[in-house]
Amino acid sequence: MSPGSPEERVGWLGRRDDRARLLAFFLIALAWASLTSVPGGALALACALLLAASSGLGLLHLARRLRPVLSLLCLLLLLTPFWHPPGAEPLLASWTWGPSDLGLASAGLLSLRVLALSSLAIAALDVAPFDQSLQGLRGLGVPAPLVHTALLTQRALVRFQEDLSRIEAALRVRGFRARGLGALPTYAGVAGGLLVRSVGRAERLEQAMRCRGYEGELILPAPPAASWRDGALVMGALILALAFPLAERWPA
Amino acid sequence: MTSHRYLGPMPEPGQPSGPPLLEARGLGYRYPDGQVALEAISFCLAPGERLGLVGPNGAGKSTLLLLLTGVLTPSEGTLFLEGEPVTPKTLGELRRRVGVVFQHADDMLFTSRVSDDVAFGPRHSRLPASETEARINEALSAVGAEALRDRVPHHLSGGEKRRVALASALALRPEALLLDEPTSDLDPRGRRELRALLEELALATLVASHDLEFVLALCPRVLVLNHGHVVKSGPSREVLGNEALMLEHGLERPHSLTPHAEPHHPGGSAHDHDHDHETRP
Repeated sequence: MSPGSPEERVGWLGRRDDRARLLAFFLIALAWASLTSVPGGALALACALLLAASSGLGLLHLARRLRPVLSLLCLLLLLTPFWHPPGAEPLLASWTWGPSDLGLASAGLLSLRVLALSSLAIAALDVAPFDQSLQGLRGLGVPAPLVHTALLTQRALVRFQEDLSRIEAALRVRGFRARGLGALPTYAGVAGGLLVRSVGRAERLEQAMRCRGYEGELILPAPPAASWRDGALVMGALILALAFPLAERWPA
Repeated sequence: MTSHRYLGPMPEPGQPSGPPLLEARGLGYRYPDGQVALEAISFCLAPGERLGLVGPNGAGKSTLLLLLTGVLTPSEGTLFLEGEPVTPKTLGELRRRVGVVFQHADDMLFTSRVSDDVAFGPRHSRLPASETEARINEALSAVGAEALRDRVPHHLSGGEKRRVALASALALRPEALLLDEPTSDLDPRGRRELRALLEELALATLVASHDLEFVLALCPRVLVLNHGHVVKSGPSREVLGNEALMLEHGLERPHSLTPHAEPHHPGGSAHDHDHDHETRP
């Protein structure tokens, strides 16, 4: 499991064919990534929040998942208003190097786009197990080695995390407290130990796979046939994807 | 445990009806650094026979299992499958006919769903989807793990993982099972159930284990491996009951074979009583 991805499919979007769900996501994401106006960005964010709320994930889940994105955005919001592109006017005439009008608009647009795309990604990806989304990517023509590597990496990360938790517990029960630079050698030892363990694990995993017929190519189950609802999802996404850029250009 | 297609009459121990299913003739293996791991290993595993493989840590038990499944290539000697030497061309057949369950079940479970792990072998044997589905049901039913079908493997208990790992080996409908330390993460009930299941399976079984009571209860014949050599083979009660031999090779005579153990169980042989009071279901 990737952090946050469910063990079972969630809501109406999760029950859709993985290929349709991912294709719909890519279409909308492509359109939203090219938005140029603050109202367009705001509308996109509203749509993404609506989708996330209706997908059955819950807004609390969305907020939790958006937390790292918000941290990054805070940093960007601190710097971007001070950007002075050609034609930009300072907001405060007495402070030439202060925030500019275009810088502030860029910061707003950037924030809205990032939030809209992140919410869309969470709504589209967190409604089904991560490995099934990856299998959906394979169905969309993503090269098999990439998908297989991602599938195995996902599993390796889970095991890595489990190992780390065990080592952390073992350190704590022996009185280890992470304080200051003195803890660095311990962390270095833990990192080295984890890597060595991972190599051993990977070897045993490959051996176990070879014993069951694996010869270098992972064979994934064939995806089930798509239904009319899946087609409707892709059509809806296509319409939404086209509507945004068209609406932005409408007054011009 | 649920009845399934593997159930069938067990051949009489020591009375194989045809050529051995697996035969090792002078097998040897050296690690890449040149250190000898196994030398001149010869033995047979007859169809339906249950054979124990015991030895101290580092004796080479796990390495031998990897040689028997073709994961490692022997440095010397030959492995025969039903009288035919195993070559790179016949490795696929060897792996279809000989299933292996690793010491750590986690090494065999890496997908996000139990059913996908069980389906791994059938899918990689390019079986049709319907047949794969039938194999999943059959194997999970054989180990009594139908209810785990849609669970996430890394959330299972040790015993459940062991069952699923066994199911993923059984899904290929092997004729032989190689088990590496099968009881290492099982509680007494899990051991008892595993033993009952293995007794039901009409499969040749090679059990590599430190759990001498388990080996004694399950396997009529045993090999003792130490420093990469087979130091003794023979009937389990005779070999495992030889205290001097056991101590010499870093093992201990099973409690149920100690002279004072039998008077406590006048109603049955020591063979039927494990130290954790296992009973056949």
